[in-house]
Order: sequence, then structure tokens, then C-alpha cells
Amino acid sequence: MNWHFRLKSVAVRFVTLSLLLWLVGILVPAAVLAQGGLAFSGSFHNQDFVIPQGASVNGPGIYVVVFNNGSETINIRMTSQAPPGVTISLSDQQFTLAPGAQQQVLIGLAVAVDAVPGDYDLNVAAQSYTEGVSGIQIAGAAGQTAKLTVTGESAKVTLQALSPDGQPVVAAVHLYRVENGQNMEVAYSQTGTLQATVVPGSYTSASYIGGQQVAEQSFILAVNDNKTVDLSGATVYFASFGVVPNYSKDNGELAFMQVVYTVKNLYQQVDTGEVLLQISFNGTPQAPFTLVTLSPLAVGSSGLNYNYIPTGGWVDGSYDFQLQLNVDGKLYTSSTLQHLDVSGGKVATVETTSPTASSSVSAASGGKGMSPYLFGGIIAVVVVAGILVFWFRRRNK
Amino acid sequence: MKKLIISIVVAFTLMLGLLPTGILAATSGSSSGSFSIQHEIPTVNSVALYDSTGVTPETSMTPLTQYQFKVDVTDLNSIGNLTSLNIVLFYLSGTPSWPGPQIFLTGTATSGLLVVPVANTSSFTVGHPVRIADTGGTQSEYNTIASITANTSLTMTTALAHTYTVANNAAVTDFGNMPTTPDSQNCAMFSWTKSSGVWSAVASYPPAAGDSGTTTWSFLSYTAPTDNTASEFVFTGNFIPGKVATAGVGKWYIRARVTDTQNYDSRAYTPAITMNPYDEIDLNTTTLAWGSVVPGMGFGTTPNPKSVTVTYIANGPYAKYVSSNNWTGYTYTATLDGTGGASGTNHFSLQAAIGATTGYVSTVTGPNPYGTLIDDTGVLTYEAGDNFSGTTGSYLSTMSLALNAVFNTDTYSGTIIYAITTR
Repeated sequence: MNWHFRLKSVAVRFVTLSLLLWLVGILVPAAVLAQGGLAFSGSFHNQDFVIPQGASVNGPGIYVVVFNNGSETINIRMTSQAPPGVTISLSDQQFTLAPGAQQQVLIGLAVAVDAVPGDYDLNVAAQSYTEGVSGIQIAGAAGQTAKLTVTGESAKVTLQALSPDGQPVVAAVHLYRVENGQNMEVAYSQTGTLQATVVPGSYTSASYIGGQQVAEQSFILAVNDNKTVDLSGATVYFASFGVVPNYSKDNGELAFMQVVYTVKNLYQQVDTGEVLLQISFNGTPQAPFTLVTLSPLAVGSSGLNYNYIPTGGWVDGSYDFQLQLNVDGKLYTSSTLQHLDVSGGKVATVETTSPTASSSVSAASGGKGMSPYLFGGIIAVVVVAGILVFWFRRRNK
Repeated sequence: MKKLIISIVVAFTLMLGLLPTGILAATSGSSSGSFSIQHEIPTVNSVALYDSTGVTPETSMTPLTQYQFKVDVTDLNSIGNLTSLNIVLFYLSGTPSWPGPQIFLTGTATSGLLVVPVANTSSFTVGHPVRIADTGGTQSEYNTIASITANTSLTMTTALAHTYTVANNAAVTDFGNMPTTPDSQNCAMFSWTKSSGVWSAVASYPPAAGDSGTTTWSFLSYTAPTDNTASEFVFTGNFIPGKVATAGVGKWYIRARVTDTQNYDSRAYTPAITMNPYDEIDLNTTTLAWGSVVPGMGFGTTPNPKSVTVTYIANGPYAKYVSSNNWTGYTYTATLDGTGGASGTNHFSLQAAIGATTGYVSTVTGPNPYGTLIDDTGVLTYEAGDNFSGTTGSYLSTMSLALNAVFNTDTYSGTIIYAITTR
């Protein structure tokens, strides 16, 4: 190495050193860039996507949330990484977060028809950044990774929310793939109907109105299935129902039963809602009678009660209480069945059974056993016939 | 003829006498006198998690996000008969042992223990007590042996096909492994109480023992009955789960327990809820400056290493990454060498050390989108987080710079990115 080259080398090093020292001088540590406190959360990491070629997945349950827990406003740039043929769509790509603010970013996935089946990792991350600042900046980032399996097999499903009489209703409809006991959101609609192409497997679907689940259906889809699932459920129902014995303080015996119930209407006002009480004694149903007529039956809850006393007083035996709700003149829904046994002027037991059980009671009463009315009538006819025979015999003598 | 008429009247009288007089006709709705109403056990009809507006049901929670729980309670004697409502929002580390439908056996010392009609239990809904009415006198609650098989109409689907057995003399209570004390990682408690007819609610979710941080849970608002004559009320509470509420898929539950004036109670649970992962990185160091450096400097050359103060907060397993990119000057570009060798003209390398681990900083391009993995052993932290600061010891956190021997004179700008990810 000649002296000329050495001098040049030393000069370059010296100049570099000088400039780096100068660089140190212009870096003002006091310029807080608020990169601290960047946080990241959401459901993305918990997803285990299984998507057929040519299909997509989205829904409000698939998202990440970016937080600025620092004291300065920060800029956020969202990034994602996916294999060829798979597109990750983010509802927001770039935004500003004030101190204490958070931003939810919805995530959708689309798999191209020619995507190669297999297992992949998907990444979504948020990075803070600062514009127009020189020097070496320290920035924060946070992210999540999710699993994706691309398959070549698929099935189609259509969900539709219906009222008990088969009319379409506007409802939030969710479709979940059931994986290891967990529901993974696949598709979502707020119109009451939903169509999706999904992988074969186990699914559950549900419809909601006003936040209340109205119907739920679980089903299995096989390869190339094209299935329609009806989510039928009552939008007006008895939210609570019970009977409370009240005893006379004079003799300690059962005086009346207080029927306590709440009618809840989730969907829309109906012209007339009529609540009827159906009572069965020893398994024999009596004619239902109206407790209240709500005209109109508005959306919301109505808490009501009624005191019941049998005309002839309480008789030992079993009593079944059940409410029926007629909407615009047609039977719409029934309550649970309250069964109680009365013995010695007191209520011995009170049990609650489901409407299914109550319907079996009705069936039994409608087709099996002998009605006390019928039994009493037969005896009365026999007695009257006996008296007439006796009278004609005496007259003929 | 007169005798005939008398006989017919007698016959019809007999006929009427044979009819079941108790329910001969649709009956009246009023009675006079003074009455004592039978004491009824309150019922938690449902407990559910919603978004902050109470409209959209939720099956998962994101820390630092507002949610609402709703507890629908019925007391046939009236809501005014209730004395308290206790909500426990908890993480269950093990397998849940569902308590199943609750069983209340009532009776008196004279009438003895009544038997649960097991044959009927298949039609009960979880959360609704099986009630056996008292035959008189004060009701009492007894423990007993009972086996209940849930039927397929249960709303708590995770309880399907299970048989629940309540051990002899064991109280019908909560999950055996439900936390009993609140802490910000595992359990938040919300309590409604009534005093002089007025309800109020408080919450508790302190930092875990040994945590020097402050809780990040919040209890924002609640509803309580104002009409104590109603038979049903939906209690609601708006809350924010904290940063370190332990992450887990299907690991959280909400239990609601309502108690009345006779100390009867009823409990209900939500199905399993997921707590989403939460990761936070707090960088107190925002810029780095090496001072007097020369081309050819190594990682061991003064003024290396430079301290970087960083705090990681996570509610579950997490990993630490560091990345950078090429630095740009007015004239030249300095190229990042992720191998640590700073090989090549105008190449530089960075070495990050966090805790006991180090790594050469790479770009985010390539198989790993977050750059160089420094450490993948992070676990659930305290609210205070895992803090790294300084150049020595277990809390070490540094960045060192190496330059190629030939390095162009310029002023360079660039970014070093510290990342936290869920693992």
C-alpha cells in the first residue's frame, strides 16, 4: 500500500467519524416519538382458517385491534403476509391513533381458485412510524399469526332466518365452523339470509334479533353438498313464567296461585297478543281462558301476573299450568309447564317442565284416559235412566 | 208427573256433584282476606356477554375493550325480595367441572327430606333450580346425593351428555376450581347489594400478588332495579377487561349468583368465553446515537453497546423480535447485513440483546415477517410488564452497531423496529 492510498483511507475514516459525531449532535433525544405503548389484540391469532379454493371468509368476529397506550399521537401502518393466491383484506391500512385510542381492523380472506392446497401461516401486524424525522429511530410493532389450510373440496350452504310461520325475518345470521369444540366464524349477514361456500365439516349457525338468539342449528356438510338451513324461532316468547302459592292466614290453606310471567317481543310490534292460561287437573285439560290481551303487543318486555282460584276451591290432585300466546289470533308459542300437586289444602310439589313435556300432557289428555266431565255425565245418565225406569215401572203397576 | 220432575232434579244434582268441582269453569282472579305468599327461590334465567351496547352477543373478549354482561333474574315473589347479585368473571385453568342444574331440597324437620324426582330432571334447564315445594313452615336447603342427566334441549351446549353428581353432603356450589379471590390476571368480581331498597354495585380486580403495576380493568356502569315490585329484571354491567387477563380459547366464564332475603340463591354460567391475546410494547428509548465511531468498528467496540429501554406486556405467551432495514443517507445507502458480519462496502450490522438472548438484526423481508427472533419464551406478565433496561444483568437490553471497514461518509437515517407477537 503506497502512502497516497493510506492517506486517502485515513481521510475517509476521519470524515466518516466526523459526520457520525455530527449526526449524534443533531439527534435530539427530547423528541418523544410516542412509540411506546403500542398494543395489539384481537381474534386473528385464534383462527384456524380452512378455506376451499375459490372461497372467502369474513365476519365481524375476525379482527385485530391496535391500541395507542402512549402519551403521544402515533401513526400506524398495517402490514400482512400471505402465501401466493391468498389475499388478506384489511378494513384499514393506515391510520392515526390519539393517546388512549384504539382501532379495530376487520380481516377478510380470499383464496383464489388456483391457490395451491396446503397449510400456511398468515401474518397481520401494526407498526408505528414517524414521518419527516432524521436519525436512527426506534419504533414499535406488534402482530399476530394465524393458521390457514387451503383445500380443494367444498360445499355450499344457505341460511335463512324465519318466523315460526315460515316468514323471512331480518336478523343477524352467523355461520361458524366447529373445530375442537370451538366456533370459528366463517360468514355473517345482517339481512336474515346468508350464502357461503365452505369446506366440508361440522357447522353451527344462529340467528339473533336485538341481541337475543332466536334460533340455532347445527349441521354437517359433505363434499359438494348444497344445503339450505332454516333458522326458525319465536321472536315473541315467555321470558319467565311461574306460579306462586298464596296461603290464607286464617286457616293456613292454599288460597290462590299467583301466575307470574313476562312476555318479551324482540322483533316488531304486532296488532294483538293474547295470553291464555291453560290448566289441567289430574291430566285433564280445561278450556283455556284469556288472561290479557295486548293491543298492540309492542317490542319489549311486559311483566304481568294473575291470581287464580278454582271456582269450587282447591281439590287435592295435580294441576298443570301453561301459558299460550296467540299472535293476531293464531297460536304462536307456549310457556314451560308448571306442575303442582295439591294435598290437604297445601301445595306439595312444584315442578317445571319444558314445552315438549307439556305437549305430551296435551296429547295424553286429548286422546287417552277419560274426562271427569264425561265420567260424571255417564254416571248422571245412568242415574237418570234408572229413575225413569223406576218411575215407569211404578206407573205401570 | 211431579215425582218425575223431582227425580230429574235429583239426578242432575247428583250429576253435578260428580263433576270435579275444583276446575269446573274458567275461574276468577281475586280473593279477599289476608294471605302469606310462599317463599320462592330466585332464578337466574340467563347470563350472557354482549358488546358494549348490549346488542351483539359475544363469545370472546379483547382486553381493553368495553363489554356488557346481562343477567336476567326472576323472583316470583318480586325483585324486591332479592338481596344481592354476585358476578364472577374468571379464567379456569383446568377442565371445568360443570355443576349442572342446581338442586334445592326443601322440607321441615317434621316432614323430613323430600326426594328429587330424578325422572323429571331431563326436562330442566341448566341454571334453573329444581324446586321441591315446602309442605309448610320455614324452608330449608339440604344437601343430598343426586345424579342429573342433562337433556338435549339445554342451552349450555358444552354440558350436553354429561352426568352430574352432587357428592353426599357437599354443597351445590360453584366450579371446584373457580377462583375465590379477584386478581387482574384471572378473576374479576362484581357485586350488587341492596340497602334500604336501593341497589348499588362495586367491582374488584386488583393486580396479582407481587405485581407492582396498577389494574387496567374498569367497571364503567351498571343497571339495577328501581321497581322492586317487578318479578323480573335484567341486571347489566359495562366493564373493560384488563391487559393481562389471561389469554385462552374457551377458558373464561361468567358466573352469576343471586341471593334473596331467605338466603336462597341461584347460579348460572355462560358457556366458555375466549380471551383474545394481548401484546404491548412500550419503548422508552426512541432514538439511538453511537457517538464517535469509525468504519470497521465491531460489536465489542466502544461506544457499543447502547441501552434500549423496553417493556413487554402480554396476557399469554409472546415472542420478541427486532428488525431494521437499509439506512439512507443524503448520497449513499447503508445496507443492513443480517448475518452480523457487516460484509461488503457500506454494509452495517446490528446486534440486539434482550435479557439473556442476542441476535443479529435482519430485515422483515424473508420467511419471518417480524425480523430476527430474539426470544420466544415470554409468558403472561404482570400489569407492570417485563422490563428490560441497561447494559448488564438479567434486565439487559442493548443494541450494538458494526460497520464495514469501507463506509461512505454521509448522514444516515433509518429505523430499528422492536416487535412483540403472540406465540
